[in-house]
This record gives sequence, structure tokens and C-alpha cells, in this order.
Amino acid sequence: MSLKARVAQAVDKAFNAIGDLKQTGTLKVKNVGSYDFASQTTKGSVSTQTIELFIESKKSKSGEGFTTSALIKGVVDLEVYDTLTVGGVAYNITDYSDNGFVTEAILSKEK
Amino acid sequence: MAFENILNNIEAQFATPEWSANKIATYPVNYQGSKSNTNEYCLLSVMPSASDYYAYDAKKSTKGLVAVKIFVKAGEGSKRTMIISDKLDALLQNKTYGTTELGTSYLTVEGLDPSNTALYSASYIIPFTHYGE
Repeated sequence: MSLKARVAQAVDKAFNAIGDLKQTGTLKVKNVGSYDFASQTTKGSVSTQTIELFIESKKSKSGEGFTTSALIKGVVDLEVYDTLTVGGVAYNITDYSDNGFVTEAILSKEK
Repeated sequence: MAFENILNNIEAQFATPEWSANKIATYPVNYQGSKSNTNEYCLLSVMPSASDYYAYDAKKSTKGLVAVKIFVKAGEGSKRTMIISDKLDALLQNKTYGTTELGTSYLTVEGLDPSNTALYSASYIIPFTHYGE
């Protein structure tokens, strides 16, 4: 088994081990490819994807919205146009990084 | 409606065949989607900045700037920047669109883009005055 497959297997194992801490979210992906100056709107396609994630932390400053850090199983390409719905709450995606196996996303929500 | 009308009058010009024929990828500021040509593109900003009444019956005029940030591939001189600026002049300089009058342009050459040094940038600036709402 290759090292890559071994790490991917370990990620699967870890997500199974956390039991009900693991959540399922719906990622609404909007792939924007151009802007139409005639209609003054972005043009692109929208698709949805179900993902498994683990909410790591949540922080908020007094009087402001809050940001949430989430660990997503697998590699997902996130953009500012995308939204992630977890437990009925829709988050905007403000930042993300991945290492080829898991994606760490910073999610924001207005108060 | 003045601000929206200014934006409509300017942005509509970038949808015309006259501009599209140049095949220069152009996006508005606050666009974060993918770009068709990452080595050469323009970002359009419309920035109203001051307003006044120009007649006794309270007709409003709004002044501001249209800024087009031009990105071209770094390391290949500045000719392409000048060519694109001339094409923008042909589209915008001393033109009137609706009740938006555009003035004369100038160019600020900025050099290598600090966030992506594979690109060289310049800002094409042209003032406008919009009459009425």
C-alpha cells in the first residue's frame, strides 16, 4: 500500500473514531467563471455536495458575528461564493487550506 | 439612483462589441471567480467621490473616477499596457454615455504587482461627471 493510501486510510479511521462529533454538511458550490457586464451579474454553475466535517472551534467578538474552524474530510475546493450548511446553519467560507487529505476551513456567519 | 445609473452607464460599455472585439478579459472589482486569462486582464472600478447641485432647481451632479487596473505579463516591457490604455481611451475618453460625461484620461504605471510578481500593473484613470439622478 502506498504512503498516500495509508494516510487516506488513517483519515477515514480518524473520522470514524470521532463518532457523533462528526457532522454532515451540505456544500453549495458556485463555480463562477465570468462576469456579464450587460446583466451585471456573475456567470457560473451551482452544484451541491455532501461532506463530512468536524467543528473544531467557534469564536466571536462581542457585538460581531462569529467564525468557526472546521476540519473537512477529503479535499474540497472552496471559494468565497460557496456556502456550507451544517445543522441548519448556513456559513460563508472565508479561508481554507488543505494538505491533500483533509481541508481546514474558516467559516463565517453574521450575528 | 444616481450611483447605480453611473455604474450602469460605464459597465454597459464593457459589454459592447467595440470592447469585446479587443478580447481583453475584464472584470469588476469585487469579482473573485476564475479568470479566462490570468496573464492579462483588467479590473474595473467606478468610484463616485463628490456631488453638487448644478442648477437652482436642485439638479444634482456627481463627480468621480473610473479606474481600470491593467495587469499584463511581467518581464515583457510596457508596450502591451500602453496598447490596452489606448483601447480604453477609444472606448471612454471624452465620451458621453447616458448623462455620464467622461473626461480625459491618465495612466499611473505601478510596476510589478506585489501580490503576484508574475504580473505588471498600471492604472488607467478617467474622471467623470454624471448629471441628474
